[in-house]
Amino acid sequence: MIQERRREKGGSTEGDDGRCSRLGWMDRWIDGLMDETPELRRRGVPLANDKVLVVENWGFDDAVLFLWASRPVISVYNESGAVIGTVPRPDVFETPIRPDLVNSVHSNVAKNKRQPYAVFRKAGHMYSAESWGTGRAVARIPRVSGGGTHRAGQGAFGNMCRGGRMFAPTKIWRKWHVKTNQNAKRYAVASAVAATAVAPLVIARGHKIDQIPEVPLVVCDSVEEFVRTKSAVALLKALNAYADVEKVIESKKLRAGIGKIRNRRYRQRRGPLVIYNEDKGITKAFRNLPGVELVNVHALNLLQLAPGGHLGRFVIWTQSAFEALDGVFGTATAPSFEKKDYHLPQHIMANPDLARIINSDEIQSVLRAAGPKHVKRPYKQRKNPLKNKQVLKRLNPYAGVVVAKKTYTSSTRNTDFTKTLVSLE
Amino acid sequence: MNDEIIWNVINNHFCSFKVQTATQDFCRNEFNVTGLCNRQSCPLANSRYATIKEIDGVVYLYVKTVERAHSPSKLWEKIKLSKNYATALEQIEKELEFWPKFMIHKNKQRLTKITQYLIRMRRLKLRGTGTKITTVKKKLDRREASREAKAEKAARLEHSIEKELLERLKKGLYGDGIVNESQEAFAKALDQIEDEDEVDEEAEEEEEEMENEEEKEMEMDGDDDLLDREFVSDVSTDEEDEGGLEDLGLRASSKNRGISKKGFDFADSDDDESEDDADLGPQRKPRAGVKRKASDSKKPGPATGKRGRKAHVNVEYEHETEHIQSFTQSINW
Repeated sequence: MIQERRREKGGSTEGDDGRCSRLGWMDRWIDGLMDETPELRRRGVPLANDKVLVVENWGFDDAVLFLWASRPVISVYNESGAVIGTVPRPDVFETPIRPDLVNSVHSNVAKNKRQPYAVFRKAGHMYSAESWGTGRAVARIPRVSGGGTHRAGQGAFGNMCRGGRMFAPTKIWRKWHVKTNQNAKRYAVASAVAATAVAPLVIARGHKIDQIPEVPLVVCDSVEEFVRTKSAVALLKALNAYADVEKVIESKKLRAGIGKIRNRRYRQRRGPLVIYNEDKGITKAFRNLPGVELVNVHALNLLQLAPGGHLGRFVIWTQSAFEALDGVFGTATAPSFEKKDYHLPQHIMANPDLARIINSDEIQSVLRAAGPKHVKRPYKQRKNPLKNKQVLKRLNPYAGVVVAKKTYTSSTRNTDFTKTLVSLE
Repeated sequence: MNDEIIWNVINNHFCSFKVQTATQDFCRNEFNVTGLCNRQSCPLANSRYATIKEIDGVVYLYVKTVERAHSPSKLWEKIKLSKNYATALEQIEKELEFWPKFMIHKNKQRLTKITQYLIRMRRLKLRGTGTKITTVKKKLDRREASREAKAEKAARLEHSIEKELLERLKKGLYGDGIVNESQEAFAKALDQIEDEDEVDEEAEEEEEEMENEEEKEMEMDGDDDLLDREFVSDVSTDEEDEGGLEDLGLRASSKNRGISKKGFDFADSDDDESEDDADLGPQRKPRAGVKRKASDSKKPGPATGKRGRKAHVNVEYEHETEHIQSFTQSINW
């Protein structure tokens, strides 16, 4: 079955449909059956219904059965970049990817860290100014009372006046924070997490992950005990993830504008996001690296998972963090442990590849045959029959006959041509 | 992950490789076959994709399939293509058998373009570029041009040339056959020489008065020549012999120096002038009226006739006596 799929003739340009995307890991798994199954056989395979399947006398049919029963599996890497194990993939990564939702939630949530700004409430009004009224040959704007100084008699209070208050002075009681629905926020975070597992989206966002071994990138738990930045850098280099950090270092530039003097002097890109389960020193190891951010898996932040509202942050998971995701978000069947009464969002379409559905055998076989192709306007450009002989023939088939019968004499010969001949002589 | 979803996100939201222009969108991704941002051309939104890339003159076919989509480091399969263009095309056909026509066609196109530019590169290396393009250094050129002009002006080439020419003239290199081009220069030169010789003349006068009488007369004659006024004698020959405009001009331009010092003899001057002009030309004038040192004069003796002072003096005397006689006669009657 698998062989046939590979050699499929004239398949669509796109990859396989949602369900068949599992084939990727499936092929991988079948190919690596020799390497991986001994361990899996021992530990047992985790199932969607939170059971563990332990199979004796593992055979090819068992493998096939296993494929449809279990989840895909992701390799775990150690500090030197070698594969030391696998983890099953949490169901969060199946969440529908909703860029629109992520964008709107992000714009709301980003407003929640704002600090109020306003002009001084009395600005422009600290004068006992009064309008002089009519009859004084001056405009009716309130004027500063008193005398003996330039300021006396000048216009005051209005937004058009020099030294007057601004139009609509900014107030601190502006609504700075935006409330977003909890479910929407959770959906957005789940969607953002799912997007981190899609390599094209991460690459499109601008991360340099061309050489990393796998997406999503899961690292062994011993990384959580790192204390030295040196070891952190060594890890990233072993995984070929340091290119992203280098990108950040190169991108540091002075900010354009007044933000410079407002403690926002430099701007730089975002690097990898390291998600851990328990901080045994990992924060200290990674925090000094430019662009690298750290988050506890139990407190995932949309602003970090989808910076700027754009999906696809480069994430490095520790193994325990990766395994904890099922508890944080829940599975397809089970609710989340940490988020009360929360189930992962379901897809509207099980298979979103519409083109493939339409072209599939199941549907094509039921459709009626297509009629003859009828082009409404075959000739986009009108060609002149008097000049274009082919068009003339099409409209008047007898024209061809006439031309064929025509005999050429000196009188019918093209006079212009004759003239040129004469001139050449 | 589904390609359609990826394309939706990339196209409608954000892609770091997309370059938008007024007419078209381009894709900066290094693996893009066409270079355009299309649903079919996007290397990110197509899990099955192929490109041609050239590295150091070697052409490779890069292929990616969905089976390796999870592993970016092993994503692209790199197939070295033959150097032979036809073989390479066949290789593409073989590797991308059963792939969509668009992919095969675009890859072949890209291969063609690459081979063409490689050929061009090799040819250029062999034959080289005909022209080398250099920049126009406007500031430099302008600066140097003005400096050149200033240097030329400071060098005062005309002066040195003038000096040199006068030197040569004095030495007598040009003999008698000089044609004056510039009136002003000639007049100036005249004055110069006159000044020089005036000094000499004065010195000599002090020493020998007798000898200088003639010379004085000569000089005076010379000075008289330079007067604006012209005193015409009765003798017709004088009138005939009088020079044309040239002489007049010369007379006008040259200075009157000796007049105050010495008296003048109208008649003499006129005669001398006219004869000189008639015979020798305007350039002879300074010589006629000016005392010359023995070394300077290269004039031959009386044999040349009216050339040379001595011969000239003889003639003078004859006329003078006549005129004086006639004049005195006219007065005394």
